[in-house]
Amino acid sequence: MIDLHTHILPGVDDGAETLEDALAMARVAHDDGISTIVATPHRNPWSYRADRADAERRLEDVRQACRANGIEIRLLLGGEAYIAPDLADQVRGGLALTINGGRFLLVEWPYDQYPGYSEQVIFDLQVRGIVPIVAHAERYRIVQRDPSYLARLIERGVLVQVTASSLLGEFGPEIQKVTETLVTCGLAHLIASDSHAVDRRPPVLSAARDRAAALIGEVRARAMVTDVPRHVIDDELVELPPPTLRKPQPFWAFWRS
Amino acid sequence: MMADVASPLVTVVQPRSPVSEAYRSLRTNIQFYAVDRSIQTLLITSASPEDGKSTTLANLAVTFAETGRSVVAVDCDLRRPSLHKLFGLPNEGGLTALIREERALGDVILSTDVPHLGILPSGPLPPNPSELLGSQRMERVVESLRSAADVVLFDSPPTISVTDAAVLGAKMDGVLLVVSVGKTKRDHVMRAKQLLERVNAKVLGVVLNNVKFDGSLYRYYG
Repeated sequence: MIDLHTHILPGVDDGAETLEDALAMARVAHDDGISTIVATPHRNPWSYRADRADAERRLEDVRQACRANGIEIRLLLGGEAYIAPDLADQVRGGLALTINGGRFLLVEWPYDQYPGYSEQVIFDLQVRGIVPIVAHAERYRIVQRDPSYLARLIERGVLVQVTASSLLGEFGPEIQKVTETLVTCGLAHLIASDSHAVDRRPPVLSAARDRAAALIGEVRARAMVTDVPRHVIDDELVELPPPTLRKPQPFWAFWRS
Repeated sequence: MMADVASPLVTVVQPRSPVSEAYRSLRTNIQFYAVDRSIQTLLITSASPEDGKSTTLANLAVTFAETGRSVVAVDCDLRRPSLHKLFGLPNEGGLTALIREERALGDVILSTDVPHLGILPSGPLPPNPSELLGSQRMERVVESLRSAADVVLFDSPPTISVTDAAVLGAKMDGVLLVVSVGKTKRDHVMRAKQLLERVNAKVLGVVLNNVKFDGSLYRYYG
């Protein structure tokens, strides 16, 4: 499995604080059957903004620590960008880091508001050949209120990531239900941990994969943690089925409406 | 893709059929429409959605290319683009990247299986299509297409629902209005024509789509 969204890079954001923290996360991930982790530190003008070389150095420290401790895991660099009117320029300037240097960019929004410039920013990124991935889609109010909103973005070629622990109910039953809807209706393409520490959204995917398998079957669930993220780290275009939008409803569903 | 008989690209799949012949006579009519100047840029639009403008455009583009002239079909439907799908091509780069000057013309025109025919797909969809199509950069794109190809055909959204077609029509040598017989409403066609004429677009004529005929007139030559 491949975990596309983690805060394993030590000492730069609200994720791993020390090298030991990062090492512990790598160990847990490895034991869960994860072969590749992408470090996606929050990157924006008011937090971690050191250059790419700094991030590479920190990641190399984690790699060496893993090797020294016999943890076989591949570590790649990315970033979690924050929606901003000048995001496309942030990519060009090297502040916003794409996943493994390819075309895919993990982007987060504020939880409780959807800025009016969002679609312009998505367009600005796309005309420069960048494919945005919506980070932890289930946690936005606009999505919770109307999951089908994501369908519009998906039709425009945007990918959607949901969080493993949300699917397992760790953020409460409502967010779990939204996450299940996204997975069931083809409104999510990737499951990632968004791990911040071994005990804060732990870096594990197998339990969420199994939960997804109960909803959409083994093959599609596995793709969300293997094939799709592999395309992303290999910088390959992903062919995805269009969202089905509606959950398959039992024939008596109209009674309830 | 080209062997697919159900393909809407009838001029490719069944080049000797009466329908393909009809597209050729449409081409001839356009060629000889103006004696004093030739029609190099042509907008193909319709009054309402799904009247068949993209299919008409694609087949017309194929028949123009058959004459050996270089043809580019441009998808200016920045809301529901479909031209790239008709030719089985990806919607990468495209018109919007060209308007935004992120890419060069040579990079974004995709070649097809039809000799002399290139496709310029829409590219990523912008939040403000009408503004983009009405921009000065778009005018520069049209000019560079003029110098790059002998014939340039532009696909657009339906005329009545959004202003894009009227915005584009004003920049073209001519406009063709596709009408689906038995489906497009008479007053919608009149309204579309008014909207185009208001911006001084030159409506060359109407293409009747989905006409039922038994083909007996063509049998002797077929």
